[in-house]
Formats: sequence, C-alpha cells, structure tokens
Amino acid sequence: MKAVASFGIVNADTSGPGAFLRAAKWYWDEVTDMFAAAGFSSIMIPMVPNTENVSRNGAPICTASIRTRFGSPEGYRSYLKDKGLENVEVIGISAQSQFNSLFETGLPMEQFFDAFYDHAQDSAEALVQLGGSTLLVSPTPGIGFLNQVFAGNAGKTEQFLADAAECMNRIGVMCQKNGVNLAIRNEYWTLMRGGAIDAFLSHVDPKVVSFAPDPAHLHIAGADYVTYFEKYAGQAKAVCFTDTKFVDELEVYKTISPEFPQDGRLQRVYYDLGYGEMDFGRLYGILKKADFDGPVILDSKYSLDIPKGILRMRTFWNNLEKSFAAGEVK
Amino acid sequence: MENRNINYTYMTNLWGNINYKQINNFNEWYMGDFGSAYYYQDWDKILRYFAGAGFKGIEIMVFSVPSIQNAFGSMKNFKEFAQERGIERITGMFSHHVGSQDKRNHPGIFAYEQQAIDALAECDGINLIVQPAGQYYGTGPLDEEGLKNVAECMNTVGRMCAEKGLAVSIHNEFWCAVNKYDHEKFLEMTDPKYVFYCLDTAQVAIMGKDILHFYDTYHDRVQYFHIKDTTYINAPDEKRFGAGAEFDEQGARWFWEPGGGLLDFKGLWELMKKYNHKGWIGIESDGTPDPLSTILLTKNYIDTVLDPIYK
Repeated sequence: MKAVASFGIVNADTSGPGAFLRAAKWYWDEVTDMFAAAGFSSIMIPMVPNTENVSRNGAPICTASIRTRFGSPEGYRSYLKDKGLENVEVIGISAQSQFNSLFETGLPMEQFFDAFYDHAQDSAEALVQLGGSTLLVSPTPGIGFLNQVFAGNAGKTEQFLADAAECMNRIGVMCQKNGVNLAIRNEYWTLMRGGAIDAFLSHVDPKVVSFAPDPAHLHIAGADYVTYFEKYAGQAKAVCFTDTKFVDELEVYKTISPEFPQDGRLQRVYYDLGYGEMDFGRLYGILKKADFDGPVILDSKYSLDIPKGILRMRTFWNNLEKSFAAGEVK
Repeated sequence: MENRNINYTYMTNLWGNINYKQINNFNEWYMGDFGSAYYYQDWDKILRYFAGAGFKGIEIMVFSVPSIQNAFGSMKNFKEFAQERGIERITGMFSHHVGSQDKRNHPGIFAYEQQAIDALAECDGINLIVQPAGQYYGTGPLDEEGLKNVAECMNTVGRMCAEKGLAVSIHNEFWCAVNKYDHEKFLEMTDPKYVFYCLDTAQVAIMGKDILHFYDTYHDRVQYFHIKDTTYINAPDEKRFGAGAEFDEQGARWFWEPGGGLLDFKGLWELMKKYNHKGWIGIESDGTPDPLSTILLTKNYIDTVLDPIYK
C-alpha cells in the first residue's frame, strides 16, 4: 500500500483570512513543502476543467494552470522533485466540477459527456507525464443539480446515468491506452451513492473500470462501508480514505449544496483523518488481507487548518501502520 | 439619516468564496481543531462584519452567484437576508469578458452575462462591473479589430444591462489584454450612453496612469469606483504582461487598504467634490491577508481623511 496525500485538503473555494491567497503560487509552494516535510512522497491533485479564468491561477488546479506556471506537466514534476515529492500518483476529476464549469463556458448539457471525456483525456495525458498511476473519477454531478436540470424527470436521470456509465467505459479504454488505471469513486451526493453503487458498477466494464471505495461517503449515504471494502478490495486499483462524523439527517444529498449543509444541527461534513468516526484500522486490515498494493488516497478534505491537517495526516498513517504491525506481532 | 452625496459599498471578494448562509453551532467548528474557522464560513457573520463597520452596501463576484443561489435559493432571498443584517443594497457584481476580442466568443459571453444580469437585477443591484477581456498573457496586445470587438461586446452588454435597469462599467485590470497603450482609446470606442467606467484606483495606477488626471478627463464616464491603494505605481510591462500577473509568484502584495500605499486619495476626493459626484463608492481589498483589519482600517480612513473632504 502506498500513502498518497491529497491536495484536496485545501478548499480553494472557502472564505476567511487568506482564503483569497490560496490562488497564489507562493501559497502552493509552501503547501508542497509541507507535504514533503511531513514525509509524503506522492500526492493526489483534484483538478477542474480548463477555463481561462482558472488557468491564470497559481494553484495546480487544472492542467492549464500547470502549463502556465511550469511550462508542462513534466516541468511541474521536476518542480515537485526539487521539493522532495516523487510524483503525482493520482489526478482526481469530477463530473460535478465539469457541471460547475457550464456556468462560465455556456456549454449545453447535451455536450456534457463529450466535454467530460475531453477533460479526462487531458488529465490522463498529464498524469502520464507526472509519473502517476491512477485517474480517479467521480462519475456524475450531484443529484440536486440533476434534479434541477431535468426538472425531476426520472427517465432523463436514468438516461443520464446510463450515459455516465458509457462515458466511464470510454474513459477506461482511453486510460488503458495511456497505461494508467481508471478508478471511479463514490460521493454521497451523486447518483453513484450508497446502495446505487453496485448497480452502476454492473454497467461498466471491469476490465477497464475499477471502483475506489470511500468510507465517509459510503457511511453518509447509509451504506455499511466495511462490507463494501470487503467486497471490492480485491478489484480496487486505488481506495480513498476520508473521515466524517456527519449524519445526513435532512437528506442534504438531494440539495444543490450537499457539501455545505445549510440547515440542521450538523453542517460540517469532513474532518481531518483520525478526527472523525470511521474505523480505518479495520479497513487497513481488509486491504492488507486482500494484498491491495495500490494508492491509498489520504483525503483530509477541506481541513480548517492546513499545516496542522498535513501533520495530522502523517500521524494518522503512522498510527495505522503501527497498530497493524502490533496486531501482526500479537 | 445623515444626508450624504456618497455612500460606501464593499466588494466581498476579500473573503474568498462564502459557502454557508448561516452556521449556528460553534462547537462543531471549534472542538478538536481549536481555531477560528467558525467566524469566517457564513454570510450571516460576514455581512454583519461589514454592517458593524459602518458599510451599507456590498458588491459580489459573478463566481459567487451559484453558491449564493445554492445557499439561499434565490438572489432575492439573499438580498433580504443582507438587509436584515444592516446591508441596505447589493450595489454591484463583478464579471468578465474573457475571449471578447474574438467575435465568435460573443454569443457565449452574452449568454453568460445574461445570467449575471438576471442575478444582479433580482437582488436589486445597480452596476455590473466588467473586466473587458482576458489576461494580457496569451491574449494581448490586441490589434484594431480585436479592440473593436471588445468594445462591441461591452456595448451589447451595456444595452442588455439597460434593459434590466442596470448599468455596465469597465473595470480595467493592470494585467488585462486591454492595457496601458490602448486604455483611453478603448474607453472612447465604447458607447457613453450604455457603458460607464469603474475607476479601480490601484489597478489603473499600476498600469501607469495618473488617476487624478484620468478622473479629471473622464469624470463624466467614471460613475463607479473601486478604491484601493498600491505601493507599485507604473509597474513595468514585463510584470503586468506575465502569466497570471495578478498573483505575484513571490507573494508581493499589489493592493492595500486606502492610506496604506502611495495614491493621492485626498486629491481624488477634492475632484469628486469639484464634480459633485453622487452615488455608491466601492471599496475593494482583494489580496489582504486579514480582511477584518483591512475593513476597519478602511472605515477609519474614510471617517478621518475622506469624509472631511467630501461626503
């Protein structure tokens, strides 16, 4: 197993002192140094589609911003190596960020999956140059957004889901040609959530599409994440470790603000790894038993304190390895 | 209520992207982390910070519209929520016309701007503030045809705004494809009936323009302002035309609260007095590492330096 630290720890779209500066390159120079200082050698970067507005960003938020600042993905990898990081093991993309870009690009929904495929291809080609192994894809936008677009028409949503599966197969073939793995992830607010995951996976080609389970997202969707890890550890090319205490009491997954619950007594979804309620010791054991040797994406998503969150992430992984080793000795 | 010619509105972008309408449970954001995140996550508190500091208006970014709609259900709800907290008017919205030098991009820009205009009108706004083209890097310099297309795009959006009772104004970034060498020429290519000018004092000074001379010359067109200071007047072309010039790679700070840099705001206020300017004056403080400090320093500067000259 390989610990891969996610840059998703930084919420670039948040508010507070200095939040605006998260778009500056110097900020990411420091964050990159911190990951290396915490002993990580490989990272995961969540990326959004290229638009001119984000391409001038100093954050490695899309392939265009990397090309603008570093000349090429190879140039960025060279920069990472200088800072003590070996590679970008995983690039994460999501149908939700593709959907979000429609506001700026004006692209119609009819062209959604063609545009998403292009985004995936661009990302996979960059991934090869970054020395990575896995393109991580969240296959559909949020349920709340799709309900708005399709006015709650179940037939249209079903067709969209079928198109999403077909798009994943196309992306899978493309990834295979590029020599990287495609892993699709579950998020509690997309169509591929909880109990709907198995049905979606039955429509994709397991030869080119794998499933990267995420315990927090399974748990919030009301699924038994341990059971899912036991079922899918054998086929996994990557897994996601995200932590939570959140309980979806008001069905926020159906809203257009699923990651930022606007109502209810619980409004914070993500916690630094080790500070939520997921039983990662058990998941680690399941993965070991299945001889899983791929990337474990450590995602302390949207941490409230980035330097502390990075160090907590290292502590979390150290403790997992230590606890497992102690159990083995016993 | 005090009788004033000018009131102050604050662009909210110094906070970043605000995702929550209102957060109630301090402990959910404090216990375990022991930080201050609770104070900066939601519109409820951020609006009250502005109102508490004495600002009666705010401006928003076009990029914020989806998250505002997500959080509030509608822009109208957002306006009412702000009013309940002491913000009388959502005066403006910032937007941009990336790719406007190419006519083929205009339909997409118009579709995008129609969403922005509808959103601004729904919250009873006044002014759509527009960066007229993309960044200089990769786009500039513009030839005659390109500049003409940018102006036509602005004129059309100006008419679209007028149909909704709004105004459009040019906001010229120092790193924009429309830049120092065609700045005034571009302004004169636009239709004065529909297109106004938002004088961003720092951006224009960094570009190498004398803000007093510019305002003195174009005061009829300059109906809106983004007031901010800078220590970097007349930056060289290579700084302004570089990739992503807005975010200095080493972290150098372009913009300061008024009084924190070198610009002659006293002189500008004297000119406003001379021309009897009336309306909302926007403050913009993008790039500050500490929004609350900047907001309070700005209010103090207004009270002690600017108001005594003209208010």
